[in-house]
Amino acid sequence: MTEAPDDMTNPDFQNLWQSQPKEITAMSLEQVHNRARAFKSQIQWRNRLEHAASALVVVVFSGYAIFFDHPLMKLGSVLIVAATMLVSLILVMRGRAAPVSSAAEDCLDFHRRALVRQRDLLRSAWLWYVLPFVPGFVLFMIPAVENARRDAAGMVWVYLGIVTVFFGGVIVVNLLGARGLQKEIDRLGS
Amino acid sequence: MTATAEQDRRYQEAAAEFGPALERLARGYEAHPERCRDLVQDIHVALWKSLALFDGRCSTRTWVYRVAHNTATSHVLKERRRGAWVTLDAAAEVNDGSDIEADTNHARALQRLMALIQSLEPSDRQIMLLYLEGLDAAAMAEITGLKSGHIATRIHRIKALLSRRFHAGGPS
Repeated sequence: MTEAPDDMTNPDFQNLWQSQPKEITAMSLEQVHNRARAFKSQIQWRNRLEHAASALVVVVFSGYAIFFDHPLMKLGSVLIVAATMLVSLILVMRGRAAPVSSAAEDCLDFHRRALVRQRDLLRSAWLWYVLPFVPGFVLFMIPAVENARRDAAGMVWVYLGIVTVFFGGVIVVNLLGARGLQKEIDRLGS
Repeated sequence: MTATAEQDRRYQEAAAEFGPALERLARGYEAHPERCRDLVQDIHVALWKSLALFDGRCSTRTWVYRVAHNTATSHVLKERRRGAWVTLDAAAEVNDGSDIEADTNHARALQRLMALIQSLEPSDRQIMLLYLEGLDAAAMAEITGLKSGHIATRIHRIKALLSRRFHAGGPS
């Protein structure tokens, strides 16, 4: 075997690390200001888009509730409108309750807080973000399924079974993800 | 001087002093060159924003490293590649199959060091990067929030891991 140079048989890892050439051009103050503004503007646009999408759902399903004849479609539409308004309200309240920047807290607390936030989201998001839409969606679709297969009433049960398996699967996957995050949280600082 | 002007001044001083370290830190978290560039910029913006709240209760260095590591940790948590991360102990068990004959230049050694860092869990990665930047245990404890005993144990493991991976006696 060829003998390796001294600097690699007994490397000074700190010098090796710190002697890396600088490759990224430093940002000017103006660039920092611009990027901060762009980030803020991006968040505002995302919020506006969410509100616009909610408004669209409310308008469309309010129309369905008024003009559709089938009582299940009317009821389903009303429930979807109610669910949309509820979820929008929760999103606005959560946005207002967002903590002040914690960018400079110690890394362990920051990391733990980030994991706890992700875990809680996985544990509860399906409850307030998905579940409110399920009753309205199920009722709204039943007449459509019946019309598509007028000769097979059993299709409605198949449809309800598929919906149950799908949403049940979403919940199980989220809860498993939350359990994995809890393990990570438990390991932190140990 | 207005709050914003003071914030700008603090940022410029911090960026001048820690800019190269922040770039190295970002490389330890993000291997992809374009995403690494974005991460460096995100760290600078987070630092500038945070300095509006700087109250002098810790040193500027502690503040800068906390903001940088926290921003980078958020970045990797968002990327959701945690399945591939390992602890220092697990990393020590891995034989990366490298041959010392292949490690005859700094570039190759740096590449392997980088790959090792990027495979670590965020909390171990923080200690590794702070160690490589030459910070002492007390400074690391203040930045990370870990107890000094934990820091000492992890530094010991880091030195052992580096020695083992590079088939050598460790850092001088």
